[in-house]
Amino acid sequence: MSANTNREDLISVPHRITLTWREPAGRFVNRLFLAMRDREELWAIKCNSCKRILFPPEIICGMCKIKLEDKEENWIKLGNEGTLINFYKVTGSREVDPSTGWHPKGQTFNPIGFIRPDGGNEWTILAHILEEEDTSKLDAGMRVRAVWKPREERRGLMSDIKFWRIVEDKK
Amino acid sequence: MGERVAVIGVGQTPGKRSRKDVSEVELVNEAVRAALEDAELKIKDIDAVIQGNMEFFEGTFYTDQWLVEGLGAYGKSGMKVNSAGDTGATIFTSGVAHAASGLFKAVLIVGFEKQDEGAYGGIGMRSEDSFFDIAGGSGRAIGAMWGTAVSVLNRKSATEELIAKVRVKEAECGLRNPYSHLKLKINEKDVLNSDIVMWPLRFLHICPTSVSSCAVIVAPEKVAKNLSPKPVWVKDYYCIHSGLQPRIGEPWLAAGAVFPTGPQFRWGVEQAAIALYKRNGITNPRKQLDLIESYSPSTWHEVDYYEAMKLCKPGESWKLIEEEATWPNGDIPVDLSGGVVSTNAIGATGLHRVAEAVIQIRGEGGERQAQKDVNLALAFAQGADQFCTAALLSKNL
Repeated sequence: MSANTNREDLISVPHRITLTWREPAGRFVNRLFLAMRDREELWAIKCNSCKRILFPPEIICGMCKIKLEDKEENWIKLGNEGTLINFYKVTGSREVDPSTGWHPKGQTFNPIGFIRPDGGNEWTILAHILEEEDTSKLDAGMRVRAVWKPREERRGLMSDIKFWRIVEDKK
Repeated sequence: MGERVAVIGVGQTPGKRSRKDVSEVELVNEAVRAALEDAELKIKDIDAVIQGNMEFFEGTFYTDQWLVEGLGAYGKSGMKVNSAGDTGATIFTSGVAHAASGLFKAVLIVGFEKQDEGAYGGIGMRSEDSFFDIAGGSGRAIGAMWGTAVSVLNRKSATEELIAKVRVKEAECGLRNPYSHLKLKINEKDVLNSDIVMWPLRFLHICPTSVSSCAVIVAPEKVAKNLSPKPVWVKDYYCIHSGLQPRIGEPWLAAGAVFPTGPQFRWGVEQAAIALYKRNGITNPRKQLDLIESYSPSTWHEVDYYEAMKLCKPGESWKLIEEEATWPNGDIPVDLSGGVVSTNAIGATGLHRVAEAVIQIRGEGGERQAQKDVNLALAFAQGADQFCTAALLSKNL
């Protein structure tokens, strides 16, 4: 190939990979996902050494490097309501759909909230979809509530929660 | 370290958005040949080759296998490393460790990314704990930039206007670096008016998707002194795994904005800086360091790292910016290469930091050369796998 090869004569060979795979949830997360699927419940686990309440539940505390025991007293039931800690919204068209790796033209995403469900502490963070699309109506510190899919649509996944809805101030 | 080690050669290819004229083998070979020429060596003088990239970003696996001819690695010792954004720095310190072992004469280190081939979207999105993926469109590096940006604003370390001022500095440096991918002629207004990607993160704050390769040759002291008229010494390096992994799915990098430890990248940089300073008697880094090449994938990161690197007190990055202390004629220049926001060929990016620091210490930076003498420089990288690797490079042994 000479240095002055025309651009249209530079050949690129196309490839495509389609993959399908499954990941076991693991012992602790399995328990969480079953509770979500069957009872609309969120569960976290507590490290008795550093007192962090971890969601999703982990079998090891990364900071203390100790095994977290699968004992009833270590499991913390979180509320279906929580506090919105922060949120973001992708407004540019420069990111992709995590389920496909592609970003079809015109696709938009709802804002994503960092939510601390009631019963958690400063280490308990859940990232999930917010129902409200208009970020000017969102505020850190707002109360939000999980809206679950009906039982027949719940499969033991994070998407069993449809989204989080702003809890209207009762006053 | 066992043996003391010096950098005796650097080579890089100009950053581009696309290199449809070359294969991966041909791309890395350009950098390899440039480094050998710089070191005045032949490939037969090299006895170990360390290489790395963000494997699969090109859609290919086993790059160590496919690239062996271009690397000149056939029949030689070595290894392949992938540590995400940190790769370029990890291969550097792996090469230094090889050289320090005393088992090798000269070690060639090669990083590259050819993102014009790219399957980044699909692959990048699937590299984390995917059964918690729920959050559409946030993602990965962009999320990390958002977390850092929010943290900088919340701490009142800088305003959006000051971030724009730093971005223009980065762009001007990029214009002066012949190897820079982006050559942007922009002013502060352009930055402040550029598209919002995730508020307060704007399009112009973010690094590009680049194609480049970088190669560095290191050798132990006795070889370096014989072979090289201009060795740059590796005074020390430090690597730390720096992030707990909140398994909250795709936005975990963004979660630094709300986690008690703060942005995950920042914590790693801070810990690495503290450790390096302590081991090397650096009590006033702004005064004792002459130059920094930082791994700042967004302008917000560079500003965040001023504090992580202890160039100023917490919350006082704005003072450094107002004084233009990190500018080419400032007392602690940062990213005179134009930084990662000017060129980001991921597997090469960490090594570019080292190469550019070496060029500055040698005084060979041409238009991008710092105005002050550069005797001691800090170069670091970090990545989404949460490794942060930092190296201190010195003119004197």
